Amino acid sequence: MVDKEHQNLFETEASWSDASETVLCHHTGDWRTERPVFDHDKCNACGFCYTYCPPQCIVDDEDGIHYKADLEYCKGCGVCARECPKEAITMAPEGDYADDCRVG
Amino acid sequence: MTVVLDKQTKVITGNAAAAYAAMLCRPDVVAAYPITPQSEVIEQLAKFHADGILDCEYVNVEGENSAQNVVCATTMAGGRAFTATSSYGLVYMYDAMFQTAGFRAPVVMINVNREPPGIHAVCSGQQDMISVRDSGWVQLIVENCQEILDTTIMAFRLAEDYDIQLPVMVNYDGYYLSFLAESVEIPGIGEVDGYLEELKTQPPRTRLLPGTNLGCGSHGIGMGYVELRKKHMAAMERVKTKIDEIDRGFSETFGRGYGGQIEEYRAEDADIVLVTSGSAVGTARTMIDAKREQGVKAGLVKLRLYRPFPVERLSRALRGKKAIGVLDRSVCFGWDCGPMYMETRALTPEIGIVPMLSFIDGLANMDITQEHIGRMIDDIHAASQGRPYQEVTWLP
Amino acid sequence: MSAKEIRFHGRGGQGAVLAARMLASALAAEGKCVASFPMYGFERRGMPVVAFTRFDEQPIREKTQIYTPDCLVVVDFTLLSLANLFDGLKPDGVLILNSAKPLEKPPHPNLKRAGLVNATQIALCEIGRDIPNTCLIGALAKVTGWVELESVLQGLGDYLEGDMLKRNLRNAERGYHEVEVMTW
Repeated sequence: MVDKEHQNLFETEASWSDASETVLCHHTGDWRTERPVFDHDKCNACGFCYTYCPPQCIVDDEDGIHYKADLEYCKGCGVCARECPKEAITMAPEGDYADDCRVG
Repeated sequence: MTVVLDKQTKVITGNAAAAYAAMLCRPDVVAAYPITPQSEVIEQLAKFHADGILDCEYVNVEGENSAQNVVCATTMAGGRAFTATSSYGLVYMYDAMFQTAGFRAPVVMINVNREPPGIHAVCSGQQDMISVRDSGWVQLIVENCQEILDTTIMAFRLAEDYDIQLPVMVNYDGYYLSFLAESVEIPGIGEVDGYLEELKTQPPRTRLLPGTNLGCGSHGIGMGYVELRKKHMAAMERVKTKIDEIDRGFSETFGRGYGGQIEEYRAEDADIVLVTSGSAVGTARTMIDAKREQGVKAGLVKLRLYRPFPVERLSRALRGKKAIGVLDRSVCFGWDCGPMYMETRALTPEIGIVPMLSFIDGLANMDITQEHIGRMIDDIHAASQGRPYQEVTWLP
Repeated sequence: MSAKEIRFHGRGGQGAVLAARMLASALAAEGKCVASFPMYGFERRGMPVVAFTRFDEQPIREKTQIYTPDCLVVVDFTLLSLANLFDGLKPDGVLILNSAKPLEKPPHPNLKRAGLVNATQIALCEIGRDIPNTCLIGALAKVTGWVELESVLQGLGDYLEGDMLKRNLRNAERGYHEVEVMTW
């Protein structure tokens, strides 16, 4: 019995991979079920959210003072909201949900 | 106040079955560190401990190397200890494992088979177990959730037996058994107490006690080293008959037996035999039945005891067969074949020269399907009829 | 009744694995022999997971994945686009789908019957979170008739307690009563 034909997945002898092709181009934003909402009135621009964000996807807001999440990568983990000392970040559900529930 | 659990039947995972078994044997110490696919074992034990069902020292260690040191020390002090690990964790405790075995410490450890480091995979595979086969531990491999529970209880009975005093590793496949939920009969706590009672009638083993001058682990130089090695090897040999006895005793008490070192399934009158271990055995049984219906006299030998290798019983089971196949869920580096195949092949003086085939399948969560087993049996059958065959086949 | 194989498709965090196991418990409560296990690659929310449940009058010996399911349970509608989701579905195979809209046409030639229920909406209403699993088990019980609703509800007690149990009991009941069957 002959082994089946196998198409190699790796060109190398060991498990080498190129991060620029795998990790950096992975748009993880669609994993999200909720997103951070930034209240500029409460924010003091301390940068905690920027520091704590695990995938480092907090970026400068257009006004150059405050922060926002890069929604292409933000997975909605909520760490920024948890760590914000001014409670300026809240997590809001993604998408629309029905308000009515069938009763009975 | 300790909550006492009665006998019950429940749908639980393999990991939960291991945790129930460990809990029922009342360990003095559980050393806990998580690793997929084993984490549920120590998590369930934590829950038992928190709920007052398990009265023990639950030690949260910072890594598996410490876990092994903790359980070794516990048993050297005369206590009963348990831990669980897998792959990366198993190799992290490598030096401590030699210590445990060399000290003849009767630790019981679950190892959920998962591929070791080198190619990152959170997937089942027996390479982790194979990589420590010469560490001096007793190694058992099981097929389903009920057997996980029963064998873990038997492991304590074996490890602490005065004639043995060796650490025992119970292996089961990650994912295919660790996360598999089946109906399991869980004995009541009193039943297991009664079963392990026999250990208390045996002479007490030497132990570390504060205030005495006894210690363990001193230098064994020259003939002292050789002597201890020989004693360890002799104890390993005694495991074979002991495990058959323990299996019979367990069967008398709980009504379930597994055959001890090996189980022969339709192998006695078979012309060809497939030897394998772990979850693949369950799948193979179905295929053996199917092939029998097609007129192929195929049989199966389930390898339960891997260390020590069941030389005598396996030889008797394989003698007279026309061809033998061995299915490994790992590789033997340096011999270009499967490790259990290689060890079975070493029985040639006992069983005669017959075609022997090595099959390597089920690496990294790859499924060992019924179709694969079918192909293996076809190959062994072809070999038995004098047709050309390939010695080593990698599946799929 | 011969052995039946059910394959669950979901994303990590939606309870697909637990659903497969809860179904096994329900069937075991009726005296069936069961086996259920998941297969996933990376353990994280959002990653596709598959879970397998088999049941039979005889003990289940095979420890393989399911390649010829009698029933598919799809917990996340977006998974319907997966190329191999319907692979191996037996002729007369049935689909249990979490969906807000009916299916225009059968997604696979072997699919003759589908039970559709908006389990996400029901779960958000009853549990407050998008965990549709228990709702879909209720739907499966109704559509296939392989297990009684009573057994499903009884089995949930092994996995949940208190308020969460009550909410999921309602979730399962609503799935049972509100599933709509489409046939082709």
